[in-house]
Amino acid sequence: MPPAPPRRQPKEAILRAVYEDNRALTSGTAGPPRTASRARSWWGGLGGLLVAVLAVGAWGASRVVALAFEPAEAPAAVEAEAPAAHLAAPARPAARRPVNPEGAGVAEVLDLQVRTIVIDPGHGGRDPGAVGPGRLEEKDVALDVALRLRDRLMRRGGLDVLLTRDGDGAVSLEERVAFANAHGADLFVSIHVNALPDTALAPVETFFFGVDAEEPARALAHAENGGSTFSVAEFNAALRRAGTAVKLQESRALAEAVHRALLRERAAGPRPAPDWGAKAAPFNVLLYTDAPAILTEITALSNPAEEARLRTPAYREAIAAGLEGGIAAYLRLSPPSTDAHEEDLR
Amino acid sequence: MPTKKTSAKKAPRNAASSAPKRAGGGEPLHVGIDLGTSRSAVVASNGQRAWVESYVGWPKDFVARKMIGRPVLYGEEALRHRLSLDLVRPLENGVVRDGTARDQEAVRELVRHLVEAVRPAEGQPIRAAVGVPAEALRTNKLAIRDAVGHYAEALMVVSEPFAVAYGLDALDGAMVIDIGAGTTDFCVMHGTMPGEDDQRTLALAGDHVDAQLRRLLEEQYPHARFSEPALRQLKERTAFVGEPDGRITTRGADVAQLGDYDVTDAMRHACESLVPGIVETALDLLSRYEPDFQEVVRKNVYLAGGGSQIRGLAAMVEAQLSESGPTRVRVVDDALYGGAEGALALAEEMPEEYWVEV
Repeated sequence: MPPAPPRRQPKEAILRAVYEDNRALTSGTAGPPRTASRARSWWGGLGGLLVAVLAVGAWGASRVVALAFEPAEAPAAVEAEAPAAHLAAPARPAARRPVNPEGAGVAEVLDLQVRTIVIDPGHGGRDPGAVGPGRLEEKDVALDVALRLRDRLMRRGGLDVLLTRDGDGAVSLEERVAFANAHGADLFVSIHVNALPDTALAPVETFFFGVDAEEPARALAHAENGGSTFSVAEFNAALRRAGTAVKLQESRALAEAVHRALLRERAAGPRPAPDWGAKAAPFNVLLYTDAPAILTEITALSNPAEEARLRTPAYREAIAAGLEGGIAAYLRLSPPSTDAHEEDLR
Repeated sequence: MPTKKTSAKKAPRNAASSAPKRAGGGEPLHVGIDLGTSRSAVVASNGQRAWVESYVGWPKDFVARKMIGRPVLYGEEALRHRLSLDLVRPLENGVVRDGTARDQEAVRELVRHLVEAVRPAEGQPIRAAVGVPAEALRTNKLAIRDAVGHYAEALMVVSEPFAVAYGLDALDGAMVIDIGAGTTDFCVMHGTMPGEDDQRTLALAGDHVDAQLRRLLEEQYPHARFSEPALRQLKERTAFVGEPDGRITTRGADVAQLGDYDVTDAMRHACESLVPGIVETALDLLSRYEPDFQEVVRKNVYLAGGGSQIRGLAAMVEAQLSESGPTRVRVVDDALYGGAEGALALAEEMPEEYWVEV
């Protein structure tokens, strides 16, 4: 065993911190402060805006459709400045509430645009995903909905919409991520169908990757300027963190918009879907994509009634319309066309 | 993971794994668990300890079930029967892989296997401390908590390198670099429980060495084929950086012609590919602290995990870190059980009232 460390602290404090951290983990509250007590304070200052600009610049270069994020719970001064003029969308229905609870994001501040959307139908090949009691397989539902969503988005014009698979082939998670990154995806939407032990349930659940954005990119842009004494390592760390914050913020906004739209679509059916929320979760396919990314569980195949409905093209089309509506709300585009919806029911 | 993705055909698997939590009376059994991408280890206060390759497999169909005769296989045995199994390595990159209930179930099965391996008495309550990767997110910790909570009366989740540091009693002025399969976790101890800023996770570890080794051999012997499990075992026996001790060879086949191939250089370069990332990350983490504290930490750098067993690695990391200031790098005594032993120490020393409240 190696020699004792130079200065021994009482273990009691450490054990108490472990206990409190675990209490916080189970109770859902924030844990104890997580900062290095001896760390130099370097975050903020001039690095803020520079880092945010570089991170966002790396995230997407040329875009066609204007991104827009609505402020919510933002300070009054920020609300007053919230840009609306660059939004190309027509008047939005009242239900389309602000999509970004963290306030206007860096992407909005910098007026970035979206051109390429990658849709990822879950599973495929020998991996059927969830299988319903009537043997309907998740991979087939996900692909069908993805194809319908692609057609819907393509009809809008101005968007490149790509699929990680357009047939029943096996595609690894790594390949899906590599595909999205190689094609310069601006948004990544992974479509899945849940299966639950309680077959009475068929909730909508939407995920984005990550922890809560403690340092929203907008705050970086407003950080006060100061003399730079940052090392290269500090700069690199800042760049990583800012990039993560921007992606997180936008992923969350997209997830919430899509989630709300799916719930609305399901509410129009025979029974409203339980709302299991839009929330953070550690899916690798969301972590390693460069673009804002979400994974949506559109319903549950384990529910026999839902499985029966999923066998109908009309229902799959309605779900595709819900997804389209969410993406459109996030992008401040016009709501889905009901005409197109009718056509696709055939 | 909050999602409970199962399918109707997977239902029996769930049923098989729903063993009751041990909540009976009697003296609790303290258990320390290190859940790793490649290997998981467990140590218990009754003196038992065990490890398993982190694979879980279920028979693919009724034929396989009949042939294998058991509902689930673990570790090496699961690997051997991989063609008949739905095989899951649930902790890819150190986190619950893709968040499906299947992965969660695999983690749960793994934990069940580990808990049963330390032979708790019938009805004996279990108090477990579990090491997870340093940067495991809250949802992931919750997923692991759910998996372990199925078999433990109470449990604490801590970061793996912190568990190692606790086991070493290196609680102030030390850095632990835990080189696993999926990730290398860094943690600086400064007398308190390390926070997020005190830790780093690098996706550069044993799996990366395997990938590099395969790539280098493909370049060196474009027509030869090698067995991946054999290469991995060879790596575990002979991995090194710096000067070789001798020639390392393995069996390979050129079309159908078997032969011995020299893999010494490939092994060396594959292993050395870890060094720049480890050194850079260690320096990056160190740079967060005041200079005088950096000096203290530099004297107490520990390599842990399977990767620490690469011959010459500690010396090479020490030499490169020392270019920017005197540094001493040591390898922990027990790389396989270090994390689990630390977790057990933490579990045993945790005050009773904390266990009760958790």
